[in-house]
Amino acid sequence: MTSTGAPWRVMLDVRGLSLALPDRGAKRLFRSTPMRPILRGIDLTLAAGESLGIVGESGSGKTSLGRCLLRLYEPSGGQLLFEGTDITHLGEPALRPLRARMQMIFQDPQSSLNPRRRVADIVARPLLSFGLAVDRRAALVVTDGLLERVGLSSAHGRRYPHELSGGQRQRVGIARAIGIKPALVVADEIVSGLDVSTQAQILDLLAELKRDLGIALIFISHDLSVVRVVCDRVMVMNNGAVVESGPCGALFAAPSHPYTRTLLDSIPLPEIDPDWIDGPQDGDAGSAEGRAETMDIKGAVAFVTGCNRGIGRAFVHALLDGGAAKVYASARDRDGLADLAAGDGERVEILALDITDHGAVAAAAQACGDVTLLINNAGVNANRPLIGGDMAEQRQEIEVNYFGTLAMCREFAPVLARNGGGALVNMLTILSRVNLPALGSYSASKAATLSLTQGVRAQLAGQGTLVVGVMPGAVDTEMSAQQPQPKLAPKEVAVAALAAVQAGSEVVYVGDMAQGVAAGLAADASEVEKQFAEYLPQ
Amino acid sequence: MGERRLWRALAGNRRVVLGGGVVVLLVVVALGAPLLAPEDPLRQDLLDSLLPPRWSGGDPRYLLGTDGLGRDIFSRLIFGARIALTVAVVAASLAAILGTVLGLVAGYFGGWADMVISRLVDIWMAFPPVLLSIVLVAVIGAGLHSVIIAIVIVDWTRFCRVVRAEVLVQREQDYVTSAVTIGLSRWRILLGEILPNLLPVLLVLLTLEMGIAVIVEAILSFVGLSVASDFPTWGGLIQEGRQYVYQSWWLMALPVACIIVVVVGFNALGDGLRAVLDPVMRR
Amino acid sequence: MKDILEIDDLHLEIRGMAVLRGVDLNVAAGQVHGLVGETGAGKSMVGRAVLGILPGGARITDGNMAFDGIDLAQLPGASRRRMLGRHMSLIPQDPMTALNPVYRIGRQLSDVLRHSLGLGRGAARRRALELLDEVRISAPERVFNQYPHELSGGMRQRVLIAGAFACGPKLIIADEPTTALDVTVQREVLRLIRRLQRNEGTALLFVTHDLGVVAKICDRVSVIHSGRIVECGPAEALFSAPQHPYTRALFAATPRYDRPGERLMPVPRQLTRRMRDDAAAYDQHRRAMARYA
Repeated sequence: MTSTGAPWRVMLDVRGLSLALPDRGAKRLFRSTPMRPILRGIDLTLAAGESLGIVGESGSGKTSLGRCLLRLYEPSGGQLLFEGTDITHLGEPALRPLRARMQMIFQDPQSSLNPRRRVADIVARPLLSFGLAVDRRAALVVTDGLLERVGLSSAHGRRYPHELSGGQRQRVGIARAIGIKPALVVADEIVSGLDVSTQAQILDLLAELKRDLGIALIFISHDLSVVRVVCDRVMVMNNGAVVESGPCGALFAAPSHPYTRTLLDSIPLPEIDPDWIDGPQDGDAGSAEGRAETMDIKGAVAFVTGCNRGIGRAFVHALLDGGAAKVYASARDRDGLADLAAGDGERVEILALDITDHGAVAAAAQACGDVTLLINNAGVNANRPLIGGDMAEQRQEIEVNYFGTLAMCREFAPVLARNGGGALVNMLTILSRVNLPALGSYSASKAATLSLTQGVRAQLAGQGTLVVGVMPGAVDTEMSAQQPQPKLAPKEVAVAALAAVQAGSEVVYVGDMAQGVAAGLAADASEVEKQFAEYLPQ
Repeated sequence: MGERRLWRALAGNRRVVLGGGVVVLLVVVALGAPLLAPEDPLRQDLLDSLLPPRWSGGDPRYLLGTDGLGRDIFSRLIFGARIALTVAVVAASLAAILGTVLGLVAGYFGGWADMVISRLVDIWMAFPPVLLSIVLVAVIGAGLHSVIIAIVIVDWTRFCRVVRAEVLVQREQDYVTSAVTIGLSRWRILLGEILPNLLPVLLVLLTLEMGIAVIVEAILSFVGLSVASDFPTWGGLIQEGRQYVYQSWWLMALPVACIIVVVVGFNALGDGLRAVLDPVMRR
Repeated sequence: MKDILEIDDLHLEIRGMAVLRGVDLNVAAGQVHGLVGETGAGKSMVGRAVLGILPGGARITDGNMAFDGIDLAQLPGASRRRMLGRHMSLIPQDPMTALNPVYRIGRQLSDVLRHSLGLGRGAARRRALELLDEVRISAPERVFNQYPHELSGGMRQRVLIAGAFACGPKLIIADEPTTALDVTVQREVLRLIRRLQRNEGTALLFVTHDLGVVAKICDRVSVIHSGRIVECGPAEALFSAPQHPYTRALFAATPRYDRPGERLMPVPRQLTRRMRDDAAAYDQHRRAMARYA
């Protein structure tokens, strides 16, 4: 990516950035500390001089993202380019010269200013460290100017941080960050602890500095109102994933994701509006108090069908890795399931369930009353075209893929409602959107299941259940032997599906092929159909 | 500004003043021993043995009386302070340096270094400290050096544990993160940023350790494992006084009193410093 | 409407420093009265003075407080403490520290009920479960047996709200009850407080720094600065036509996502300085008067 024209105009180019940190709370004796995913595939770009707001609630991963961008954390996946240099896994000595071009302003100026140093020393340190001042005396001269620039006097420089007010300390943090004339500044919740009057002064100062110095700014905040004041673009995060991003004007005027809307509606504007507190809440049928429809895998009780093969097995493993409290792993026969419980017997319960047997499904819903996450993964594929295939096989496809999924949705919907809404995942395929003639009958059955998913989503919105349709491209299982290359690993599909649940996304296309097809369909559906027609049955 | 307020807070704390006074007195006595002592502490005069202190009818030449060999108790106590102070300062400082270095490394770098150092501390703490030091001195041989080495080897763990825990806390503070963003190396962050924030804690620990060192030295000389037995140490004086405890109780009581006063002084100073330094330094 | 709480010329000092300088504030029965101010304005001290839980070194130097017609100053300490929880209670700011980490939620709620209402063990348990249900906790039995650290911030705040409403008090002091919460959770919690307050007919003194929150939940509003109420009135009036320059300055300093073009105006320093000078002059005047009294 370094080869493109003028690399310096792009300050940050981030692709699929993920981060996992050790979860000390979940550590068990004699086992290595398990890793907790914090960021799941973040994409973002930032041009020189641009300001991007990153918004999210606590636990959304916004602070971790900020620290990842400055390489204070090492990403566990993806790619991070700073001014064209790949710094994803760069070592600290190699990073050091780049650090002169990126700075951070911290949330808590109390803990971010060394309590044992005077303010002037704190501001002068970066200058000396990066060799921008020949000696201490020269640095202190510059420091005086910097303090003045942020509205303090050189008398403040002789004080210790704890002798200043919160707003003054934040000004010191800003002075320290801009002293070395960085190209990028990450400001993490820098006004959240301040009163509105102080906040307005700091925001004013920030806007002025941004204008005068041409700094690219990443402004992290929980407060959308503040972000709007400072930023050109905004990115909304939830559960470690990007929910929505775009220019401030467009995003605030017409948020496209329901989570963004919930977030905006939740902000109490200083004007009288009895409906805000008394009126019905969007999507609120009285029980779930309009909670944003996202779900944590950690602590979830999941029911997965079709666990004897590829994706089903991958789901069980991914759920266990993600900290699910319990996983019911089902398939038509118990054979081939036994080893799933071998590693983690307490959390996995194996059961035989034929989803085409409506009575058995109802009984399962009775028996598993604690389910909060239903994953309808079971499906069959006859691998035949529509005309010329075996009719009994084609009936079986509809029976399992459509009626089986329907039975599960019907019977488990009340269970999910009782447990606070939860989430329901239907495994579809990109072939639900467009027919692949070589697998004509399978594609048609999955198209029916896509329609089913949409109908169920609308019906369960009232009870706060998140309904996710997962559409991967060809996955490398025995079922898809005839589908075109390249194929996805089952694990990739399961991980992407669970990430969608966590982020509250309703539709997820997994893999380049599925994303390409979806984009193609949006642009020109007939062109995609033409391409697919090439895969005719021999 | 900051310093002046700190000094005022120190001067206003009763325990700091009291403890500090005792410590200053100990230093003055130890350094000025040859000038302050009225007699040669080693000079024997068997004719004047076991004289009581002056106020209970003893010879006016001997303020606190004499021991079984007719040596002046007052002078012997004064010279004993030299050993006490030497051990307190040297042993406690060396233990502090060793423990602090290992604690800093374990806390800041984590990983392997932390594993090894923390396990070592766990194993160390399982030994009864006094027994360990007696065994150590018995192995290395008696003498002032051995006493100091024994105290350092036994007590470095106190510093190591506290410093490691404190580094773990400080490491997460944003001023450390900020030091990373201005390109400081790990050692410079550790020594230049984190260590100064540990100084109050270290100062308190060091003072308390000096008190402990005085006691350990007394114990070792009591069992005859310290300096050569004719040179006066407080532990040695207790040991000698033990034989005459029924006839001349003061022989044992006076050195015990000296130890108590000094240890209480160190502890009071440590407690006072803790009270004063905590709010001012870590606000 | 009858006033459940009448504060008249309340003066309070902390170690000789004036914090409240003649606060007048009336809370009508069944109403939510907002008390808005910035850090150091003294807003939290008003609530604490009413509840009688002042921090060390704080001293009421002048003024009267009457709760439901009873002069609080005249009340002996024991009756005052009995009143806490039973007739007036507190929803605190920090749900993390307000619950005792070593006891289960159920026990902490039942203890309040048994102590204040004299309920038996079984009755207290039943009532506690009812309360948890009333604050819309979906699985009351499970939460009843959990420890505080097992709950999210929003859930903990719900538990504290259940505790505050437990004995059907006439007045609740809510001290920044949603400041520590995310916005979506904040809205749920505010809706909950409003619903319970309406149903029970409880009066609420809602202390906050957030004008937005005040606009949504309060019937009347008092704005406090330097220990004095600078403006007081019905919420509609205050939000449509703020009178005092300080109130107007606060509005101008508050960012709004729905008004992108608007430039934020920091509260003018001359204004706050003048108000502070006024307050200091007033203190001096009072001291001088006290000498002649």
